[in-house]
Parts: sequence; structure tokens; C-alpha cells
Amino acid sequence: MWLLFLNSLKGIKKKRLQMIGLTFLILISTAVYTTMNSALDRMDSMSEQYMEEQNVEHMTILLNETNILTRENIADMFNEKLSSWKDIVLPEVVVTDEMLEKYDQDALQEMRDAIIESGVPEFMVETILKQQIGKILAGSSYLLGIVDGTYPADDLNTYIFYGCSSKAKNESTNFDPNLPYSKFCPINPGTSTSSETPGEVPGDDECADDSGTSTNASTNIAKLYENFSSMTNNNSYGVDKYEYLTPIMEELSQTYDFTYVLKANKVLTYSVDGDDQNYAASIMVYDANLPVNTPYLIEGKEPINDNEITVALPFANSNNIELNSYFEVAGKQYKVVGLAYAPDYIYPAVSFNTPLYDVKRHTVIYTNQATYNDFSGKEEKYYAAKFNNYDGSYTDETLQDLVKPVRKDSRVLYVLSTATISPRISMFTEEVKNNRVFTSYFMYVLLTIAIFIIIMVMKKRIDDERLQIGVLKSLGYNTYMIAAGYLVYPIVGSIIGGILGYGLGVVLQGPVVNLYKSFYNIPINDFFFDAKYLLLSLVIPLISLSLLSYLVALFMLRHRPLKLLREGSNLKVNFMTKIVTKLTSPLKFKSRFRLSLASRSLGKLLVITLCSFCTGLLIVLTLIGSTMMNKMIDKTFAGASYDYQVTYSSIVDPTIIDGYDENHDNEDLITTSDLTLYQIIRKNGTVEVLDKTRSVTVNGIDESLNLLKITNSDGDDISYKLFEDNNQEDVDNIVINDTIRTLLHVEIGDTLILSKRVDIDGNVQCSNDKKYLIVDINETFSGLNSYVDKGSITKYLGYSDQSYNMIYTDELKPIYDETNSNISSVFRYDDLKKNISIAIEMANYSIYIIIAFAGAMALIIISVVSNIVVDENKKHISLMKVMGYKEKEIKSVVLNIYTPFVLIAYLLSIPAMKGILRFIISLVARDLDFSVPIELSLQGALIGLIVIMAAYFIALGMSRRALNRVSLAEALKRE
Amino acid sequence: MADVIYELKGVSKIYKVSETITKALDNIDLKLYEGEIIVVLGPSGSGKSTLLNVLSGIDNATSGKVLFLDKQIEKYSLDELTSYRREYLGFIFQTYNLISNLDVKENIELGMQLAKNPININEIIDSVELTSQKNKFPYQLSGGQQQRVSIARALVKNPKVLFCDEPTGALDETTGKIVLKTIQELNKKYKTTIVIITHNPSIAQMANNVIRINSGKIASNIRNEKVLDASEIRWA
Repeated sequence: MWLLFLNSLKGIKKKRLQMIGLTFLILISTAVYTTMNSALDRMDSMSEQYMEEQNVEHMTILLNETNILTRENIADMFNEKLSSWKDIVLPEVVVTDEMLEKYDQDALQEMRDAIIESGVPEFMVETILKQQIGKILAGSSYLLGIVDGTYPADDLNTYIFYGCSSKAKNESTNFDPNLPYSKFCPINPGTSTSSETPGEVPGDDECADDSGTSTNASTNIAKLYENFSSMTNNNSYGVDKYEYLTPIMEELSQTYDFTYVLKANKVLTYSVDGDDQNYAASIMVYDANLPVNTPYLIEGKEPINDNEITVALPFANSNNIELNSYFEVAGKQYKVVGLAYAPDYIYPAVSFNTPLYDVKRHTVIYTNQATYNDFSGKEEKYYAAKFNNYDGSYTDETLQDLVKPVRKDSRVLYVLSTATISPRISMFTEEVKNNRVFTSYFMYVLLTIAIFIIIMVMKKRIDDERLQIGVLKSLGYNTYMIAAGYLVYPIVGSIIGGILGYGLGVVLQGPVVNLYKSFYNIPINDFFFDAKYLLLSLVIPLISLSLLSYLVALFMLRHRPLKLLREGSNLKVNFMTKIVTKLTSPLKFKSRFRLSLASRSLGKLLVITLCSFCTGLLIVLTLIGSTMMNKMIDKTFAGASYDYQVTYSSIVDPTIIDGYDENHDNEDLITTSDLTLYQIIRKNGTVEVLDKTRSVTVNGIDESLNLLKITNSDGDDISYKLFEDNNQEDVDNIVINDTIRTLLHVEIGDTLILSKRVDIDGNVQCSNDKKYLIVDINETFSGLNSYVDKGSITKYLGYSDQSYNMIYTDELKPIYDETNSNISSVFRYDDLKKNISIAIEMANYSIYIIIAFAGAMALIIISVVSNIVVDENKKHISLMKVMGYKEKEIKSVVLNIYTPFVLIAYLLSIPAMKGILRFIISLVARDLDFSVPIELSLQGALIGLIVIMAAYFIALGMSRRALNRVSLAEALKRE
Repeated sequence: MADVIYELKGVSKIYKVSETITKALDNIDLKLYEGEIIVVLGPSGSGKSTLLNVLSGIDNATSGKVLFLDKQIEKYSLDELTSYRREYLGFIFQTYNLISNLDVKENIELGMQLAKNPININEIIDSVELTSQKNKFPYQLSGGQQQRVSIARALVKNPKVLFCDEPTGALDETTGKIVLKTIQELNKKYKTTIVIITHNPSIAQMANNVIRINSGKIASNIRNEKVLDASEIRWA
């Protein structure tokens, strides 16, 4: 048996191209395996420890304020401030008779009686009454920005509830201070989230009345503060709702056993000379004793003194910042005393305007409290929490079991769980997990291709040596012993490929880690030798390939000696060849010859076809992915002229704001609200109740738009359709986006039933339904977004038709300052485009690499197979040379036999990959309300075709040398 | 006397492998006439295959002249030799060399593709008496039938010369005679010059010219006065 093995070893030289191809495949698979796992080990080995030591949060909690804050809480918050506000002299409000008519006349009469009782002459009563009311309105109610007063000035608490429903106004004198504010002051309509409650028709008693100008307590407080601060030029009149929220958090922390902090950060966007893109920073106060999200100091010291800061290490490297040097942020110089990471910003997405991390322009900045206060920028506050008795991994599903009850608690509005959703942390953890899986699968795919090559080589050899094998068997060698001789291929390939692959992997893991460092702010281990990967690089291919090869060899050698010795035993044709011969009879001789040669060996045909198909899948995936983001941005903002989208904290109603004089010419004012979708009426009349209700954003627009464009997939403006008569009573028109269409499988002609719907303590509160007929589809892909006639939504919500809470503009006016508490956010389209362009640029490099890699793999595999084809057909090639066929003619019939299969395989890979992606996206869309366009341009398809065919023809070119070397004497050899 | 189709003048073929020099052909002078059946006899290693290679342009002579229809083919380039074989020659091999995944008709078509004016394929199939087997694959045929396919493939392009390298080497007497009879009939019909390389002396009985070769030299060159029909050959 050893002699047979040695004999095979000597014969390897003749099969050198096949062995090189085989060894190369094993080398690539083990190199990728070693590279990725070594790199991931370096990142992973410290990450859990780092996250544990720095107390990275398990969850972010937003409390259900309107459910928690009682009317007394709100009153207390105001009273503390209002008592001093009363003393402030403000411009007097002139009260007119028309204004008096709006007040409760009984209350006014009470006031008149009180004035008369105080001794004021009757002819002066009206004047004094108006002065008093004017003074009241100039005080707290004026601060509310609402002229519509109702009650005597003494009852300051009542003014808090301005803007609430008339019900609240009527009941304000008899209010129960312990009831939740929300009971009488419904929150902003439609801030419902998707729920598991099946859609059902709400009963009348479950619906609050149409409130009209309802706002929530936080918004009211914020608006008060803003108005008063801007009028008095004094920032110190802010109210602190956390004084009331923190006790609730304390209760929750006891119940669910976690530690929490109130996290505050400011997001600052600023420009830098010489750079057309903005910089962005998330600014926080450095506190080494924070029990959750403790800062990690890499180098230098904490920023103790004023105007001292720390920045992230990659940011410092990219901007050439040295320790103790000065760096300018938003026009002011700060001393960089340290380099630090924020542990909850592993992927530092600092601002939603620029969601993709830009290592040169984005950083987390730590500073002291005083410097933090001086920084401008929009402040965000939320509670970050960490479970006390959980020792598991941050990616473990068991963490979700701890989060679930917190999420269901009625005091909690929203929980962002670190393990799955928080992108700043989970992006890293998920990438590590997914890359390990991908690396393993990649190795298995390459080894599978390697096994096919081994089988082809063995089969050829066994066919050539069948007489010798027959003789060996006749002499008494059994199949097991003979088969062992063929193990030389997997053994030699695995040893050489495995060792070289491991070495290459060790070299390449360094650059891979450096690449990761530019994406993630996390300390990374130095390289450490792990014998495991050397062993696995040898053992995995050696055992898997040897075992499979041995089994296949046993199968191929199964025939009895006599059958092998019989002349012509190798001439039998398979069923495929017979079928092909019949089917191809009308074709020309050359085509028939090619197809019959191709059908002769189904194994080779399968390998070439599969290889082309898989290469095609990879190329198509890469090309679709490369255009996906571009297309999403293009389609979302197709033809849009706006640069900014300003979102307000609450509805702005010009008709009730005294002295409203804002100019919004050439801007688009939108009324947007989240409503609950719970039923669909299909075109054919079928009513479908959704098993899971969805929150849909409804944007009310004017008939003529200045900047916003609403287009369909052809790029045509479709906004006019919202204002056409659909001949249905009480049904307005709606344009939905692609995500709604994909997720709910709705189409033009279906009707959506929406409602304002709130679940509080399991009580469903909602208002009347609103029916919308789908008239077209807008090709945008983020969230469940729709457009309606503004008049229809404002009427439904009880606002005036001039109300708005979102503006599209191309000019960032001072009134749109994000620090204005009435402004919820300012989205900068230009910043987003530039941010994404960086990612697209990087993605383009990786696309070229992936396509080149796919092409190279195809080249190797096809070269090996076509070389085997030449080897197999040596006698035929020689015969044809002897007969007088030219080399070009021989090449065209012997080597080009797989051309149609390669072409067809690639063409099939296009719809196949599109189908796979559509399936994956439909799964994603179900959970994340998100879809993407899956398109491959003609240009992209041609690029893929060129790559595949180029690899194919280059491979054939390489095999041509082997063909040229076949001698004429081969045909004359006697067996 | 028919025209000379081949003339060899002082042709030698020397192989050098490491230090060993082998003279496969040693100063051969020879004339072959058009339309005749020529049998080249000799034991293994005598040089008869080398002679076939040199005559057919598969190999080049080391020295001397090889004239085909008065053209010196030993000076031809590789492409010219390919064209020469394509236009003028046909080949039959001991091991038939049929393409296993082409049926009978397609194997013959392989030869037909090379000819400017091929013989009608059905006619040639009839000539070799394989009409009922034309859609069968080689593995479904006997040795003799396979050899007849090989003959048809070679003759379909109506070559001037047909080289037969041990055409009956793998066949029994009966089948061998059938094959030889086929060759003989086709020679009569198409006037193709037939050169048969063999170690079987029986075949010489059907030849016009019998050349014996030994150790690379012409041992004898005899013209048969009586040419037997293939079926009358006394098999050795």
C-alpha cells in the first residue's frame, strides 16, 4: 500500500496544474479562516472584559412621562418658577372685547363681582377687568403663547393645562392632582407604537374626544422655558423634570435589580476651515465614577480644568492631534489632555444627520461640567441602565429575558436593548459574530470545491489506470489498499496549502485589525500566537478532504477486475450524452461535438456550472449592494430641493399664536403624525384585520409644494393625486411608501384604516377611524411613511388647517436653531449625503476587491477543470491533429465546450440573487419597518458578465498551452 | 506504371535520448506509386512506424528528402504539414481511435469536416456496410465494425493516400479479413493509395508492393505479380 502511495506521489508532477489549483484553494480557505479568526480574537478577547469593566449599559430607558407625571408634579414644576415669573414686568397684553367673549362668562362675572367688591366704580370695572386679565396673560399664560385664557389668575395651575382638551379646561377647578396628566391631556395624537394587540374596531367609550390643541406636559414645560428665557434673556429659568422622573427610575431599579445613570450629552455639528464636510462631536462630562458607561482613558489625564477635553484615539491620529496640544472645536480652542473612549460608543455614530462613522470628523469629547455647560449643541438626556446580577455576554439572548419585563412595565415608554438594537454597541458585537460564521462557511465552500477537483483528478487517473487496477485486483490487492494510493492529492494539498495558508493568515490579520480600528472605538489586543489555528488549518482540510476522497475512490474502484480489464470498458457513454445526441441533431457538427464532450462528464459540467453560478451570485450581490445605498438616497431625495428638515416638538398653530410673524415663503410646511394602522380594505372589498398593528407616519402636505418632491418609481410627481376626488365619502387619498407596500402587500386601490390609538395600562384609548385610499406608491424605503392632503389630517387631529410641525427648507434660519427647545431636530440633508459618500467610496474599493476575488476564484477553478478536460481528451486532440485539424479548430471544439453553461449559469444567478435578497429583505422589513431597492442595472449585469467570461477565457487560454503540447504520436500509441 | 506518389531519397531519422542515439531509419531510398496497395512489413522496432510518421508528416526526417507528388515535405512548417495531412491523407489506427461520445455517423462527419469535396456520407457508410448501425455509439459495435467506421472516417474526405497502422492488429482472422476486404474495395473504387504498416506477413499477399524493413533499412522491396483478394489470404 505504501508503494502505491509513493507511486502516486511521483506522479504528482504530471498533475501539477491541478495540484497547484487544489493547493491554492486550500491555501485561500485557511488563510481567510486564520486571518479573520485571529483578527476577531484580538478584538473579541478584550471586548467582553472591556465592556464589563467599563460597565457598558444593557439598556437605555425612556420613561412614560405623561403616565408618570401627575398634575401635581407639573404644577410643582411650574409653581417653583411661576411665582418668580409673576414679578417680571412684561409687555402688557391689550385685552379686547372679542378676546373676552372667548372666556367663560361665569368666571368673568365672578371677577367683575370681586372688582366691584373691592370698591372700583362701575364704569371702571370693565377696564380694570381687562387690565387684570391682560396682566395675567402677560404673565404665565402669555408665556404659554396662548391667548385663549379661561380662568381667574389666582389659579395658576390652570394655565398649565392650556392647550388641553376643553374637558380638562372644564374640570380644572375640580381636578384631582394625583391623576396622571395624560388622563385629561391626551398626548400628541398618534404617538402610539406598534403593538401586539390585534386590530379591532374601538368602542365609542374607549375614545377620548377630539382634543384639538392637545400637547404633552414635557412639551408645555419646554415651550414655557423657551418663551420665558428668550424674553428675559436668562437661561436659569429651566425646569427639571428629572427631579420627578428619577424617583420612578429608583423604583424600577429596585424592582428589576439594575443600576442606572441619567446620561446627558450634547451633539455638536461644526465646520472646519478647508473641509467641505462638517465635523460632529458627542460631548459628555467625564466622570470616572459613573456606575454605567464609565469612560475609558487610553492615554493622558482626565479633563479636570476648564477648556480641557479628551478625544478618541482614531480621531486624534487622523487629525494629527498630540497630547497637551490645542484643538479647535466650533471656533474655540481646547487643550487635549487625554485620549479616551466612551464605552457605549463602540461604533461612534454621533449624530443622526451623519449616521456613518467618519473617523476623521467624528469623535466623542469628554470634558468637565463647566466646559460642558458652555458648549452649544442639542442636549439629549436619557437613562442608561445595567443589570446587577447578570454575568452573561452582551450578545446573549438571555439578556432579552431580563429586558422584557422592564419593557412591559407601564411606567416605561421605550427600552433600547444593547444586545440587539443599540447600533453603537450591537454593530460591533453582531459584526464579530457574523464574521465568524461567514468565515467558517467560506472555508467550507472552498473545501467543497477542492473536493470536486480531487474527485475529477482521481477519476481521470482511475480511468487511465483501469487496466493496472484490474491487474492489481487480480493479484490480490483489495479496493481499500488501492484507494489509499489516491490519498496523495488531499494529503499533499492540505499540508502545503494549510501551512502556507496559516502563514498568510498571520500576516494579513494585522491589516484587517487596523481596518477594524478605523471603524470601532475599542481597545484591541496585540497579536498572540494561537496554535489552535495552525492545527485547524492543517487538520480541517486534511481530515475532511482525505475522508471524502477515500470514500469516493472506494466507490470508483468498486468494479471487478474482469470488467476493468475488458477492452473498451471505458467507452460506454452516459444517459446524458445519449439525450444530448438526440436533442442536438439539428445543430451543426461543431456545436454537437462540443455539447457531446461537455455532457460526457457530468461532474466537470456540474463544477464549472456551479462555480460560474456562485461567482455570479457573489458578483451580483456586490453590484446590487453597491448601488443599493445610492439608490435609496437618490430615490428618497429624488428631485428634492430642500437642504434641511426641521421637526418641531409640538404643533405650531399660527392662528392662535399672538404676534406670529414668521416668513415661510419658499418652504414646505407639513403636519406629521403617527397613526395606528389596524385594518385594510382590499380592492375587492375584503376587510383584513392585521394580526399586528403598525404605526404609520402620515405627512399632510399642501397642494403646491416648493421643495419637497413626491415621486413614483418612474420619477413622476404624484402629489397632485392626493387632491383628486376619489368619489368616496369620508375617504381621503393617501400615497404610501415602498416599505408599507412590501411589508403589508398592499397596492393602489386598497384602503387603509388608521386611528389615533394609545395603550395606557392596557386601556386602549383612541379616536375615530380615518380611511385613506391608496392612490400611488412613493419610492422611499425608510419607515412606514405616507402623504395625505394636509387639510384632511389637520381636520382629523383637530388642528387648524394652517398648523404644522415640520418644515422643509433650504435655508437654516436662526429660528431653526436646534437648541431652541421647540425644535425637536434639524436634519441636514447635505451632511447626510456627504457622510454616506464616504461610506460609498470605501464600499467601492471593497467592491472592486470582491469582484476581483470572485473572478480569480473562477479563473483558478475553470483553469483546473479545463486542464483536466485537455488531459482527458489527449487522444482525441492528437487524433484531430493527425487528421489535419488546425490548433484553432481543435481548441474551439475541445476547450470551449462549457461556454453556454457558463453564460447560462451567470444569467441565472441574477434572478436567483435578486430572489434571495428580496426574501431576506422581506424578513428584515417585518421587524425593522425598513426595505431597500433591489436593482441591478444593465451596466452592472454587463460588468458581471465581462468578469465571468474574462475569467473563463483566460482560463481556457492557460489550458491552450497544454493542448498545444499534446503530440501527434499520442494517437498512434497502442494500449 | 502508375505515377510516383512518394519518393524518399537518403532519408534517415535519428533519435537522441540522453546519451543514446537510435537510428530509426537509415538512408532509405524508396518510391511508392499512386493507386497501389503497399504493405510495409517488419518486426517491432524495425522502423516501420517511423517510416509512416515521416511519410505522413507526423515527424520530420533528420536527413534526406521526402517528396510527395514532387514536393519536398520535409521542409514544410508545422502549419504546412497540417494542411498536407488535411488535404491529402487519411489514417486508420490499430486502436480505431473513435470518439466514444459521437455515434457512427458523427465519427465519420469528423473526417468530412476537413474536406472541400467530401464523398457523400451515406455512400461511404454504405460502402463499409454500416447503414443499419449509423446511429450507434462505438461501445455498441464490434472491433471490426469500429475499424470500418475508422476507415469510413478516413476515406470520406477522399484522400490521396490512406495510411493504415496495424489495421487488423486487434482483430481476429475473420474480422481482419473483412476489414482488409473493405480496404481493398475502396482502393479499387476510389483509387486511393493505401499504405499498410503491419507485422502480419499474410497481408502482403493482397499488396501490389511489399517493402520489408529491418533495423531502419529496407531489407527488400518486391512487387507482387499476383495480388490476392483479401478473402483469399492465408492468415499467418
